[in-house]
Amino acid sequence: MTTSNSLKALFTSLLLLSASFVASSAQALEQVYAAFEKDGKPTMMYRPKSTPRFNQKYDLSVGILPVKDRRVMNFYWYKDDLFEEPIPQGVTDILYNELRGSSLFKKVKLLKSPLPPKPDNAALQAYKEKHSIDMVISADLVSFNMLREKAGKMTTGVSTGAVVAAPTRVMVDVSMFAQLIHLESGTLVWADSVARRGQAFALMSVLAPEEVGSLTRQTLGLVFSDLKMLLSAGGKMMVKR
Amino acid sequence: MKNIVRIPQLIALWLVVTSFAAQAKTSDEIKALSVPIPYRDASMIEGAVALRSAVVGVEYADRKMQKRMFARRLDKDFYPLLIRVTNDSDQRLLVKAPDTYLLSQSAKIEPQQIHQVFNGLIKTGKTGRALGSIVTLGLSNLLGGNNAVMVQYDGDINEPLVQNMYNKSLKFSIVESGDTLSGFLFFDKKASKGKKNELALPLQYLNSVETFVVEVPVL
Repeated sequence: MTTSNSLKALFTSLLLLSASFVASSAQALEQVYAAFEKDGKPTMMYRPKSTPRFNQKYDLSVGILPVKDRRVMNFYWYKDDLFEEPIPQGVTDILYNELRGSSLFKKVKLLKSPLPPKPDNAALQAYKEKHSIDMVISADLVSFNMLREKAGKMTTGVSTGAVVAAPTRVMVDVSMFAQLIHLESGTLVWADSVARRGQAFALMSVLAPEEVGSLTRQTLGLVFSDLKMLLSAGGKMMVKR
Repeated sequence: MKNIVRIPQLIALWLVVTSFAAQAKTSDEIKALSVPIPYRDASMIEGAVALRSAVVGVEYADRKMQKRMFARRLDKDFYPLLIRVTNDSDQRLLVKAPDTYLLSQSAKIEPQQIHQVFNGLIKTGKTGRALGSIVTLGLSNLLGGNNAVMVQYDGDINEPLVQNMYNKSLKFSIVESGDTLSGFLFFDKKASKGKKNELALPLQYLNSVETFVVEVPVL
């Protein structure tokens, strides 16, 4: 065998051996997406906690406006359809369920149409009459994203010598801004933002879809619990005259 | 004959070098993650505009800043701007960052979403990086590594860049009284052709439902 032939053989075998271990980030992503297609997309929806019970803060009816998507990026890289529900729609439904169960308001109604683009007093009054409600909650979804990062380094087992991959920290960020508007007076009664980060560790880099779903629901639960707490504790008091 | 022998050698050498270059770039991106946006009050930025006790300053993120903040150049495809908002009032201020637009040559340009920005960046270097992985992992396999090595590289390549851009982007946020918010917005490259660009940033004080827009020149 000549030198050139041996070099060619070495080069070819090197490529063949390595070809089965290609791990570009694009492929890693496709693995995540394929798992969601195969196992089915998880749901965002959960049953709201019945505790703590809140005292009725506002003896008025409130309308929940469709949640506006204000995120800077999709849920995970360029994919946004990893849940059973479209994300803004799912968050709107959760907001409705949570406020219905909280008893903070006399009546909670889900609204389909957004507030007028120029919310002056006349426009708000017309909106109030059209929908027969006293107040609206306008919420903006600021983040609803999954991020991953390596947590630590690859290790070698003491007794077996087996190589153990570094775990991957999977984080789900959820943050929201919400404002409560009294339609008749055009007053901003309450406004605040809530943010939570849920995290879990995946030993093989990728969490199973249902694990992502569970982590997301858990994080959403904390966000809405904070939101109800802030709504109950803060904001202007409404006095009947 | 000698030339034929050298070609595979050269290709193998190129692949090995590429693999190390890819790993080096990733480590720079991890380092950039811990580099914060330098704190400056918006009034310290040249051309800052004050309106209703809100001060907004905008600066073009030059190549030096791009490298320091993101460990790579972004201006090949995008027009990156660093925006700072200082709240000089006694009310909380809401910065409606996703509604921002750039007025450039009488066109209204909206900011790009982060996944659109890094998607373009990842495509640029994907081939080189994938080949880098092939050689690194293939060599590791030859030298007695196993599939765990593959897991180490899986998704490791671009996650720091994604997280860094996500952390440093200007988001829909509340600025407390006396505080300053800083973050990047990425516009389409065509905005760089405009000589007199102006950024329009909608703001709202949280004692009212009214939104007002601050227009700031980009110097």
